[in-house]
Amino acid sequence: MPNKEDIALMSHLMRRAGFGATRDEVERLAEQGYEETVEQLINPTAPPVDEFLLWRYHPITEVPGGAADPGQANWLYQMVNTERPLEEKLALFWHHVFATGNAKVDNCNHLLEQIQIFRDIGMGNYRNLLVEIAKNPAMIFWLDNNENHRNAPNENWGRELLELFSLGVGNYTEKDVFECSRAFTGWTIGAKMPRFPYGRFPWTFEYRPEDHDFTEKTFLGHTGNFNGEDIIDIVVQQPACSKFIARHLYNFFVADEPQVPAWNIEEPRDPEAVETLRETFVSSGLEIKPVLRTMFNSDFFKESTYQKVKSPVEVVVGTLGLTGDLAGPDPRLEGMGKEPGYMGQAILDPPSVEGWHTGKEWINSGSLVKRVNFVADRVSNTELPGVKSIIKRVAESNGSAMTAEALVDQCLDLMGPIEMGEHTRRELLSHAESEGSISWATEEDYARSSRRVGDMLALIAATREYQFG
Amino acid sequence: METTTVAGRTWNFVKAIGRNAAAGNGFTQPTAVAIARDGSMYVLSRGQEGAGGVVAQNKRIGKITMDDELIGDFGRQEFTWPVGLAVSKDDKLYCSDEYGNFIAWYSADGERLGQWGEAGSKEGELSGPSGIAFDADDNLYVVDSLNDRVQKFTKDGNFITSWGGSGSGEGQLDRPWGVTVDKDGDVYVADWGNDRVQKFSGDGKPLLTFGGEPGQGGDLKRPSDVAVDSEGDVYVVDWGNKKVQIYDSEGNALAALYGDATEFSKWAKEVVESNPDVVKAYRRVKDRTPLGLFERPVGIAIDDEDRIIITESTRGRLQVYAKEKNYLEPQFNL
Repeated sequence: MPNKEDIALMSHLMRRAGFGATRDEVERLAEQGYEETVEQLINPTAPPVDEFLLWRYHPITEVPGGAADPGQANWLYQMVNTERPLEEKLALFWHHVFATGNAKVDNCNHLLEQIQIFRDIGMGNYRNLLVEIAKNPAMIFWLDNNENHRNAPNENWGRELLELFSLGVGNYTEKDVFECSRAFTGWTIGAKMPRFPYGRFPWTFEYRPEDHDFTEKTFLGHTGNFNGEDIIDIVVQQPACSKFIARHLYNFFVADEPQVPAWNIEEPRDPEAVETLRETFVSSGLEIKPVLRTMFNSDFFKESTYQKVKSPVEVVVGTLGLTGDLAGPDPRLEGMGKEPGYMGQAILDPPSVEGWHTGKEWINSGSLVKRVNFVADRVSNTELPGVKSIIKRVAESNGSAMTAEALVDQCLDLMGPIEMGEHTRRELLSHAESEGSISWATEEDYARSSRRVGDMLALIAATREYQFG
Repeated sequence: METTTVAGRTWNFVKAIGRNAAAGNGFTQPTAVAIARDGSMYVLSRGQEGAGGVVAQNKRIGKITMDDELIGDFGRQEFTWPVGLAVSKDDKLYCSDEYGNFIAWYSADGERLGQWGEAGSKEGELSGPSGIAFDADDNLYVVDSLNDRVQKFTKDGNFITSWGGSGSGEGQLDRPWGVTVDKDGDVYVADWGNDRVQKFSGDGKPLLTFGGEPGQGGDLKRPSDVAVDSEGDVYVVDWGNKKVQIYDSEGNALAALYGDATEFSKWAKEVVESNPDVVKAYRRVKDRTPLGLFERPVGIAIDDEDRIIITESTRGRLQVYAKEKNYLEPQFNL
């Protein structure tokens, strides 16, 4: 049997490299070993989520068009039901970086296509990913590259490519932005059939040489007749680029950093860790998978337990997974897809191309109440399979009777394990003690004690500590 | 008019009906179609749930004619996951709800007359009832999808018999979906998860499999529905491959329909022509072929004149084909 430390570490890995795991799964993985689990995460062999099953029961989620709800439901369903958790988590990571929103794109079909690109090649070569994203119709429309013409350049895509997708502020000039934009003229979207009267038809990438600026450009010290891919080749060779991506990965997977626009004035909290990731990124030829391997096996990752405020997506998907709620098609799915948005993270609809502000900025008085209520509603529902499983473990942990302290400790262990601050722990204990002794001896006792476990789980969900993952 | 010709038969594309619309003369994810006794059609709009729970505003049953007349619609907010339609000899419309685990029935003018069904897996209980079809004696076959079986009831819901079981062996089923009954009383079931259609006798004896052997033509991917014409040819909605696969009665693949509705339906045309921007946008399109292709065909029905009606959930329309029998291919190079 794996020991307590192994369980804690594996839980940590699964929260960060996925959306958490049930205790049964954590025990199985801990038995298998940490490094082997990391390998399994970065080389998944389980089949992807069966989208046919989703589409059969929720046909609108295949082609949500401009409606955000069914698009969000589609992705939420995949996050909850995936057996390739890191692939899905990494798609969320890239969605943070290449933040593209339905508020403007008005086309979740293509936003979901972008997410699929992240699934398909998000662990591969970063240069190739940039090229694919530059050709992605949702991104082209989002950042106006369809308005970027030979005789009238539009700098939106060119600027964000440098500022938010690769280098960060301070590592290029206004002239570089202009030259970069000129190199992407003619990268556009082909005319498609309109949405009326039969719904959406797909956009396709189209390169129009007649609209491309073939004259010489000078970009980041290089001069030539550059096209878009040449620009990307120059960008990815910049030291600032590898540092930028390494810091993004650290921020998302290891510990909260300041918000991205501050990165040119604030040093990383752990420069050595970011440098380790950067070196791996460069030495592997800009492959993401080796960086993930280095990161998850590093001491700095293993020591980063509860250093991050959970994102709303992590709260929602993690809770659904823990409790076994929404496992499969369900009429509540479309409504559930909006839950992260109520907490400040509307998937497929970030507030701007800068993405979401993370860390402590996830928390405000409104979002905190939403987070706590969402989790508490589910963990206190003793009919949900995951909650039943937790109750069973608690019931079997200590014979037919247990102390209030054992109840609190068991619940904290199975919700994390979470290390609770002394004051909060005393509060939980005081509540548990106020309701008398706990017995599992008879059916009636079991039912009563089950409700007490549910109540305790809900109280834990309301603690400060539970907001960290 | 597009035609597909093979083995003395030809299928002519006739027309499209409908458009994407949450109300009025259109459909929202139409997933089933059934022919009324007077030749009009019922079209089931599966619709969507929406945020904040089951809204069900756009879930409905529309009644239309082959001449593009909208008679009306009914059933709004009466279903969670409506899925199958069938018409009894006395012209009542039956509709299954695979979430509510019931079968509701209506008069020909849309008055709800009642419902039956209990959730469960025991004999006569339902779990995810999807396709439904009447036999000549007005018994109702219900595809009891999550129980991987077919159950036969009287039209009032009294259990008669059942067969199936989970698995991929002969006679077993994996989340089956649509069903039909031919003129001999044999039952065809779209065995969705097993990528095949199985033909059974009326009491459940396995008789034939369609599309089960890959590489022999007519391969199926998650078939959703099936229908049989007056000559015994079998039409399978190959939902996963977005086509309708046609077999002869022995299970030999004959031809496939991929959708031909490059011309707008009457209702669609009204919408396009009322908006000059949409008209201009269509002019910019170089290739209109995708306009006609099936985009997630789901349900199928064949009327007394062997007209084949197919619902397309993504496009919110029907495509209609007509079978021409004893067709002789011109023996000269046209």
